Amino acid sequence: MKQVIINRFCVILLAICFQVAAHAQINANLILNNRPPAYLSDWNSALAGQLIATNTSGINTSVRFQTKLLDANGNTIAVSNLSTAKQYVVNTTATIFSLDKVLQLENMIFSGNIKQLAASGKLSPGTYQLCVQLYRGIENLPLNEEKCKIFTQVNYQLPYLLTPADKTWLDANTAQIAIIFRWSGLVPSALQSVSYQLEVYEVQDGQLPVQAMRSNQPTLVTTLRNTTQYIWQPNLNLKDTAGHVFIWTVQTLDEKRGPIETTDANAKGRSEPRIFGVSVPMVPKDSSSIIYDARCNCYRNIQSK
Amino acid sequence: MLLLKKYTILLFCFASTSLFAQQAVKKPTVSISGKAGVSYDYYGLTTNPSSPSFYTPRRPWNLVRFQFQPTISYGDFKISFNFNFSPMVTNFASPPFNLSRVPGFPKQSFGQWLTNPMNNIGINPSYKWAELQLGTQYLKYSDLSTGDVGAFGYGFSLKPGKLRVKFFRGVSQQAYQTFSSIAPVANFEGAYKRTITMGQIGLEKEDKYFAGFNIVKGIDDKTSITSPVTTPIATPKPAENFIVSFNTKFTADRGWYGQTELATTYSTRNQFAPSSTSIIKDNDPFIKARTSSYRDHAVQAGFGKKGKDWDIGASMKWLGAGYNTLGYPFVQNDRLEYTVNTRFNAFKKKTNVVASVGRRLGSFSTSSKTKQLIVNANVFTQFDDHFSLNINYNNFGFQTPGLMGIKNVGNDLGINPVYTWSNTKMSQLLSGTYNWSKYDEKYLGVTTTNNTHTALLLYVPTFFSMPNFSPDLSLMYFLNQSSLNKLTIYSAIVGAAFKMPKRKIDIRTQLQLNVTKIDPKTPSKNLLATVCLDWKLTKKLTCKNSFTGNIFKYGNELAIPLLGAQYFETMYRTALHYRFGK
Repeated sequence: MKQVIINRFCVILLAICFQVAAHAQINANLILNNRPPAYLSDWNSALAGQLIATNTSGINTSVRFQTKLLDANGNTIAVSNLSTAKQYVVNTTATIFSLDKVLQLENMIFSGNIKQLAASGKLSPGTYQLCVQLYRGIENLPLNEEKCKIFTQVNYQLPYLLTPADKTWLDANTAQIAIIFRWSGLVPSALQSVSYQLEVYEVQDGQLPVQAMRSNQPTLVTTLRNTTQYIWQPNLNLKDTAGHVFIWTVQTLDEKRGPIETTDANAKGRSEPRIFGVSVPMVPKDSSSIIYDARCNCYRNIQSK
Repeated sequence: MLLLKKYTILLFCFASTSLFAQQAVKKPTVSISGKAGVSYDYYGLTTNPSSPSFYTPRRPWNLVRFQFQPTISYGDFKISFNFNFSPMVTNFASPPFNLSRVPGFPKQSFGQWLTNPMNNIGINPSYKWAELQLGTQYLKYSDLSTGDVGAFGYGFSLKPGKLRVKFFRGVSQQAYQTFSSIAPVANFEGAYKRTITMGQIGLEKEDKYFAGFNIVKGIDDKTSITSPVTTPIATPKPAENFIVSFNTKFTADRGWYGQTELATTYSTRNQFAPSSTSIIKDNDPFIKARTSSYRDHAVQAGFGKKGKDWDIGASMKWLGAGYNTLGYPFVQNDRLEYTVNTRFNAFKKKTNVVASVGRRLGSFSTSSKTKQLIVNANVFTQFDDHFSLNINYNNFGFQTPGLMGIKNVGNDLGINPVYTWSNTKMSQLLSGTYNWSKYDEKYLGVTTTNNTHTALLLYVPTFFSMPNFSPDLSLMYFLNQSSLNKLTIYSAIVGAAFKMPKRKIDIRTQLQLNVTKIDPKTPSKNLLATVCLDWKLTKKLTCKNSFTGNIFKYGNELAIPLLGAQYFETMYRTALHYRFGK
C-alpha cells in the first residue's frame, strides 16, 4: 500500500515537474491588433496580428491551440474543440502563427449569438476577448498560461454620396463654374486621420456609367483629409447640346493610405457611385421636353423652343 | 352544272384572294440601321515651372475610340453589332488600377483587352423571339441580382409567348498578376479572374406584368494568380457568390403600378478558407460553406398610382449586412431606405410639382444606426408667355448617434425666374438664378457651417435679321464661406453660335473668365476658350470638332518655388460619325 502511494506521488511529482519545465520552455506571445480586420476570415493577414511561440527546450515540440472568443461581459461566444485541433510544430527558434491558425474558425463550437457573423461574416460591433492556450501534441497538457487580448470589432460604413444626388441634372451655366460635392463621413469616426479621394469620371458616348468608372481616366481626382465637401471648378466647356454625364465616387483611405475594407474587396474602399448630368438649360417643361439619356439610364429636360 | 359553275367561281375567288394575299406580303429586304464612328482626343498640358509638379494631367494624352453599332435586319432575322473599343487603356477604378502606365508593367494580353471594361465587343443575332448574346454584354436581370458590370461570354434570351428564359456566362474581370516595381512605385497586388453565370426563368406580358426567378453565380478562379501577395496590401482573396431572387412587376389598367424583389445571397469571401459548416450550412449543389461564408437577404418594393396629371408612389429597399453580389461590386449594404414621391400638374397645367421625401438608415443591423433624411421639391410655374419661375428645395440630413457622432446636414434653395420679351427686331431672354446652400458638418465634436451663395444672370438676345447668329452673355458670382475659409468666384462668359446652312457648318464659341479668391490669398485667374465646329459632310456623315484652351494663373496660394505658377491645358477632340440607314 505504501509503495502504491509512493509511486503515485512520484508520478504526480513527475507530471508537475514536467509541466513546470514545459511552461518554462514554450512561451507564447499573443499580438492582436486592437482593431483587427472586421471579417474574421481576413485574420490571416498580418494586420490582424500574430502569435509568436518561443521554444527553449532544444527540441521541436508539437502543439495545439485551445482558443476562446468571449464577449465584453466575459460570456463565451465560441470555444475551439481541442480534440480535433490541428497540430503545429514549434521549432527550437521562434515560430510565428498567423491569427487564422490560432482562431481556427473551422474548429470552433459556437454557443453565443452568431446571427450577425452568419449573416455578414463579421461579429457585431463591440468589445471582445480572444484567449489562447497552448497544449502539447495529442496530450491534454497545457504548456502555458492562457493568454488573453481584448479587441474591438469595428464595422465601418463607407460614406454615402449626398450631392449631386443620383441621376440629377445640373444647370451647365452654373456647373461649368463650380460644382459642390458632399458626402457623409466614415462611420464610426476613425481615431486616426481619414482621407477621402474624390473621383469624377465622364461617361463617354456609348458607355455605361460603371463601365466609364472602371475604365476611364478620371476628370477629377483629389484627396481631402477629414472633410466631406469639395468645390470643383471644372474649367471645361460643359455647354454642349448633348450634355455631359458624370459618375462620381469617394474612396476612403485610412491613415496608412490603405482602402477601408468593403464587401467586395476589389472595390477598394469606394462608395456606391452616383451619376449626374450637366446640360443647358435646365428648364422643366411638359413631358415633350424630357428625353431619355442612355449614358445615365435616366431622363433629362431639354430646352423647349 | 350550275353547282359546278358556282364552285368554279368560288374556287377562283379563293385563288385570287390567295394570290392577292401573296402579292400583298412584301418580300423581306435587307435593311441596316445604327451608327459608326471614330474619335480622337488630344490632351496637352504645359506647366510653368515644369517642376516640382503642382498640377496633374486629367485626361490621357491621346485617346482613340472606335464605335461600330449597326443592326442588319432581314425579315424576322436581325443581327446587332456593338463594337466600342480603344487601343489605349487606363483602368483607374478597376484592375490594374492605373498601373498600366507604369514602366515595366506587362502589356495587356488579348484576353485582358477583350474583357477590359473599356471595350465592348458584342454581337447579338436574333430570330423572332430567340436571341443569341455573344461577346461583351451588360445584362441587368434585376436590381438585386445582376448587374452593372459587363461580362464577355455567351448566352441567350428566349421569349416565346409569355415565357422568358435567359442564360449568360462570361468573364467580368480578367486575371492580372501581381507586380512589383522599383520604389517608389507602388506594388500591384493582382486580381483574380472572375466569371459570372446567370439565368432567368419567368413569365411576362409586355407592359403588363413580369414574374420570374433569377439565379446568379459568380466565382473567382483561385488558380489564376500564381503568386498572391500579403503585404503591404494583400491580394483580394478569391471570392464566390450565389444569388437567388424572385422579382415581379406589374402595370394595371387604372394606373396602378408596382414591383417587388426578394433576394438571398450566399457569399464566400475567401475560397482558400477551410471548409466548415460551423457557421452556416452548405448550399448544395451551388456553393459549399467555408469559414469565410455568410448568407443574407435583401428586399425591395415599390407601388404607386398615376393619372393623367399626377403620380404618387412609395418605395423601400432593404439590403442586409451580408447582402453581396459580384454583379454590383460597389453596392453598400446594411441599409434600409424608404421614399414617398409625387408629381402633379396644377392650375391648368401651368404649375408642375415634383417632390419626394425619404429616409435612409445605415448600419441597420447594429444598435447605432445612421440616419439620413432626404427631401426634394421642385415647383415650376409658367405664369404667361413671358414669365416663368422655378423653385427647388433639397434637404439631406445625415447623422450618427452620440456626442461625438457625425453630422452632415445640407439645405439648398434655388430660385430661377426667366423672362422673355420681344419686339419686331429681336427677342430677348433674361434668366436669373439664385442658390443658397447651407451645409453643417460635425466631425469629432466640432461643427463647421458652410454657406454658399450663387447668383447667375444670363442674357440671350435673338436677332430676327440674323437667324444664324445666337449670342449669349452670363455673369456669375459664387461665395462659399465658413469659419475656416472664404472662397469667392467671379465669372463672365460670352458665347456665340453661328450657322452656315449652305456649307452645313455649325460653329459655337465661348470665352470664359474666372477670378477665384481664397482669402487671404491673392486671386487666381483663368481664361477658358472653346471653339466647336460641326460639319455635315454628307446626309449621313458628320465631322465634329471641339477645341478648348485653358490658361490658369495661380495667386499666391502656392508657396515658393511655385509662387505665381501657371499652367496651360489644351483639349482637342475630332470625331467622324456615320449613320446607317435612311
